Amino acid sequence: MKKDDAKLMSMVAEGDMEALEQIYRRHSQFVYRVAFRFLGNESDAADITHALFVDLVTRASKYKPHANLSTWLYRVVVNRCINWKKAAPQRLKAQIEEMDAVDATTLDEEEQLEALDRSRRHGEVRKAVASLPPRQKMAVTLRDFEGLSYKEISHAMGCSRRAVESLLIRARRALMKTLNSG
Amino acid sequence: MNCNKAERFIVARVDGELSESRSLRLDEHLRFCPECRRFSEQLQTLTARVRDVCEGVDEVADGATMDRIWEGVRIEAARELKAGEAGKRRRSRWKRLGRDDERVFLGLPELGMGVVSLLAGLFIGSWCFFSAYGFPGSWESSKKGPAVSSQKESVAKTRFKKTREGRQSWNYTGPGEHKMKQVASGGDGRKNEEKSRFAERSLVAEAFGDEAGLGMRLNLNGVYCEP
Repeated sequence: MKKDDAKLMSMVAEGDMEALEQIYRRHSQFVYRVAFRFLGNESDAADITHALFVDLVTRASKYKPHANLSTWLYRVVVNRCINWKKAAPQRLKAQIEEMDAVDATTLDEEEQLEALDRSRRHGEVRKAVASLPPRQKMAVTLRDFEGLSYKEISHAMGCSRRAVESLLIRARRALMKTLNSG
Repeated sequence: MNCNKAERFIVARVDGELSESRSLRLDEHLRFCPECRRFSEQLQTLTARVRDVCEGVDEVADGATMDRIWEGVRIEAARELKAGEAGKRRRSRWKRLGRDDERVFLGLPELGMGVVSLLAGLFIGSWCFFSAYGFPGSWESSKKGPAVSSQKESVAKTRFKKTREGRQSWNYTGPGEHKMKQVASGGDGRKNEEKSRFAERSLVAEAFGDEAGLGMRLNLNGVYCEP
């Protein structure tokens, strides 16, 4: 029988490592995904995921069951990502290019062209998103990449629904400007 | 509806967050506003393009990566738990110290620490006090002290006084008075002057001992003389 998050968290607070593993298996994917999409590299995303679940052990006793654990984790990962050390522009550029690199050796000529074109388009979008201010970038990440609702984003980012709308409008205007000019 | 509000509604509709009634109102606005209509079309294109990018990113968080991260989490979390339990034991010990039934048994180490701290405090406090006001041994010497200081005072009382013959002589009212008398009762003026100078030095030497640094030494009669 699957135990609910609140029960597992109380077990973690008492030092149960199996409960921690269950929580990890249930929630680590989206924590890693948000960090990866926001920071753009595997190493930083792994570092954030690692640190977050280690901290969960010490913070488990402070967890209040009325809050949804995934919302709570979203909030923690969002804060960690926004406050994460800024990647040097060259490093970020290299990472973005690496993310969209295509192994074209196994494809025929038409597929190769299509893959390269897709890679170029994705690279442009990633660069445009990466150039956004952190909060706008996080709003776009949670909305467009994670598919969270405005309400969930407002909980994760600790702001009002109206503030989420404003962040998304400004982010999309900036993206339009960047992508249309490029 | 103005264009600012329409812009909010357009974004909300693209994100699936606009109610049916508001959507109808937006459509009304878009029918007459080419600017907002263009923005709506551009936004739809952009959103589709951005959402297309995230396809395939899920593959990055594969099982191997997540297992590798879990290994690190497991080791460090176990360490944290160990450290946390040690801290909890220390805290609970202090808490239990307040309970009457366990006070004596569980409080012994803490009481020991308390006594040691108290003694250390007393020692440091008394050390500070005595170094400021002097140690008990030095109170005895300070009782003897005035004898030395009165000696110094008596030397300070030494004054030149002109005699009837016009010679300088000592008018000294202190422990070395007898020597002054010896000097004063001397022969001619020149010799007496030398003697009085010598007497002055010997008196100072007697008063201050080696402190004066005059190079005088005590002879067998207990009188200071030139070496």
